[in-house]
Amino acid sequence: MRPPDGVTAPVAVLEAELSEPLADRSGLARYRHALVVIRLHREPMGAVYVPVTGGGITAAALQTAVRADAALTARLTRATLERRLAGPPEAPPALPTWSVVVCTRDRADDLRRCLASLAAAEHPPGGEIIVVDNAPSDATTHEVASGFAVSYVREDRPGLNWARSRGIREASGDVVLFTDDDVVVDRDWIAALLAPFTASRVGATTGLTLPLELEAEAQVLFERYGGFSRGFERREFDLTTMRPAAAGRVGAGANMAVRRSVAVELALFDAELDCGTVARTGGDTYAFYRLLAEGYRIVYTPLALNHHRHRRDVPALRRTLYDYSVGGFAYLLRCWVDHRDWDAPRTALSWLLHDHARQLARVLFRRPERLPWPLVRDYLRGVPKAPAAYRAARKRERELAAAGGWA
Amino acid sequence: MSTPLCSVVIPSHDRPASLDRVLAALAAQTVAADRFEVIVVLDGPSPDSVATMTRLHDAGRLPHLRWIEQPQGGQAAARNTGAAAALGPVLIFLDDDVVPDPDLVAVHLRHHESGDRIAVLGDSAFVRREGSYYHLLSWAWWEDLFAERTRPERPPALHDFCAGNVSLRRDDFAASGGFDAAFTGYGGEDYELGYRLLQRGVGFVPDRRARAEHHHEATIAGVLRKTRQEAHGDLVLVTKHPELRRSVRMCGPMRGPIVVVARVALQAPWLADPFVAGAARLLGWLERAGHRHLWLRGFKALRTYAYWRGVRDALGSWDGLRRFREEAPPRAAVTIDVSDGLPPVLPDIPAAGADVTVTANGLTLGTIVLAAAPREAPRRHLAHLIAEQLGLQLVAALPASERPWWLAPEAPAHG
Repeated sequence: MRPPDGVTAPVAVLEAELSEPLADRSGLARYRHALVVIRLHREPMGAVYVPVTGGGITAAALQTAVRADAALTARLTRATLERRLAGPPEAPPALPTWSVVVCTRDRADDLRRCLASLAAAEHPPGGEIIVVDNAPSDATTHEVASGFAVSYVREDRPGLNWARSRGIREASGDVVLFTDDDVVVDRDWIAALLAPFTASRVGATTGLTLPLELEAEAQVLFERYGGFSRGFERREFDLTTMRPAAAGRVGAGANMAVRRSVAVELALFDAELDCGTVARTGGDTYAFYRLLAEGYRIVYTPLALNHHRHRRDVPALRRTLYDYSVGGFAYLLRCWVDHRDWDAPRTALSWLLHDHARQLARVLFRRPERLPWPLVRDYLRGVPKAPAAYRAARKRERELAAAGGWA
Repeated sequence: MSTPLCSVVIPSHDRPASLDRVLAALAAQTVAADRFEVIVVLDGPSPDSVATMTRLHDAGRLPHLRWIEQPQGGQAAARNTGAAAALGPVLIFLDDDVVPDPDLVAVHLRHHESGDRIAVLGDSAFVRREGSYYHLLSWAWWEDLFAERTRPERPPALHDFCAGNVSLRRDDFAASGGFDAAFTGYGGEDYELGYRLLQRGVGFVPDRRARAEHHHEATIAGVLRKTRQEAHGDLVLVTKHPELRRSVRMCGPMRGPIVVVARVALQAPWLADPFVAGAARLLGWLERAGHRHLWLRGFKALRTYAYWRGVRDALGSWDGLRRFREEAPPRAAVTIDVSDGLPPVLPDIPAAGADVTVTANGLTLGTIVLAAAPREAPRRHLAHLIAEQLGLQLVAALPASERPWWLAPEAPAHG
């Protein structure tokens, strides 16, 4: 959720349920603003930034902020009327069996919080939770995992994609849900991400990821950059309505699910991509690309909500943005060179113009919504590094294949 | 042989290699090959087809294989010929490029064991081909279609009955009069029979397990030719059943670029016709070069043009189309009162759609135009449309106490 100009850290992250009477909130003296996630009958409807006055937020202030968001009030009205007309939504038909895979690497505290939220979430029948410990430096992760009702596997090849591949091989559910160790899932997350799979051509689903906290400036800046949110409207992606190369807009690996049979058939994550590899990011986007290009549909559903703890320090955020450019363009090169997809250079150009050039222009023209120059500089610096990253990743894949494959 | 369990009827127009593959798959069914008969109707037989049939017959893997030769008259006539010669109590229609899975016959037969008056709609999944955008699109289209058919509680629809993989009782087929041989071009004859079967009370049972693989051989030019013939099929359909007129494409809503394409196709085809063949070749180049998005757009445009070009073949001119559209019977009118939410039982909405007038607390909120009966979860669908299109009117009709606070005027800050 892009913060309005003038909002600086720390920002409180709160929730408000509109089917109940609104109450004043207090105990927010540390904050000048709050990001309030608005729900109606538990369904996420929107999020608004509300100024904190006198150490709290009054119900009237929250109402004012909701009224000011036209898209939000339209959604609220539509949902209220639909409920009035046809009653509460029916329970979804039988859901597929599922496996949640949490890939983690040396982040015990984050993992503990993630697993606790998964344990507290509603579990539709027929599921399991798997922790994939990726090239750990010690046994801490194993100890954390043993405190929860989860299975634990160790994947020694470093790289998020290898961990995901391992997760898919270990999983027994028809649908494999992925989240990251630095994420906290909502109570209804599993069922919401599973529900669209009852239609046959759906190969993957993605959900809404909001910030867990906005305590540090780097976390607010990440939201200003764009964050993970893809909005509060359900969307369907399909090659008849979009260019598969633009798969980045579908969602991200911190909140996604794939049909296991399709993932196995396409060897969806068997590529030297994403965190811990030379390509740095893009394993999730490349998987979405493959699915879309093969004719599968991807459903983005804001009902599947989780919260991501963004990096707290600015150097880490600079690295993240740098990695996005390196991995993003390396991914597009892969689409272009390996799949001979001419939509890829088009997408690359449009990304450069609409994002990189725009971020630069905001700095040059000193626009209030600009990101600090060091962030933008690193974001731009990543672009020319992409070809080398792509080549290195391909070389590494060839070596792995020569060494006996990765199955 | 005593009476066969069923008769598999396959019309074929000069595709011996494909036919060979289909018959080989039929010889390898889980149901013993001597328990059912196979009737191939060679529609405009070529020496190759006849030679293939002779060879397969002599090989004897299908003991009750017969073939009938007739001058080319279209799939409808060919299927009728095959059905007339059939001895089994159940007919299974397969196309000559639809290769059945080993238990296809068994699955069809299991459904008919009860003797219910049903048509079993089998799955003829498109086989995708490396690098072929057309096959990818066709696969996606069919997957969606079948998923839509099997949605629980959904009423059967006109376009459900596809003759490429379907079975029904022979007496139901005979009583309906079979396929209408007036359909001489591509398409439409199966929908039309499906419509009559529904009217006669034959239920549709879609089943994915009655699975076959559709090995579709198609060139862009061939696809465009068939699309052009679809308009003829539509015309035959609605001439026979005027009540369906609003559900065919040429009488459907016309907006935006479609109007332009339709106008060119109907009024000035000499302007575009010379470019169509070239454009089809250009698509081939776009596909080989990997310009998927451009290809999709071009293909869609060409198909739209081909359809409206077919409308010109069928109706002659733009004026002809206009008269034809004006003659269409008016849409049905339905009124729904939503003062206490949607009524527990929704009024019937005909397949061709209706104008739904919505009222609440004595006020008329407005009208929603439904181009077709809602296919999935009609209550949810209607609620969604009303909330989206007449939401503000509905809120205004609610008593003030029931209006949500975010729509009520804000109380003054210092009152």
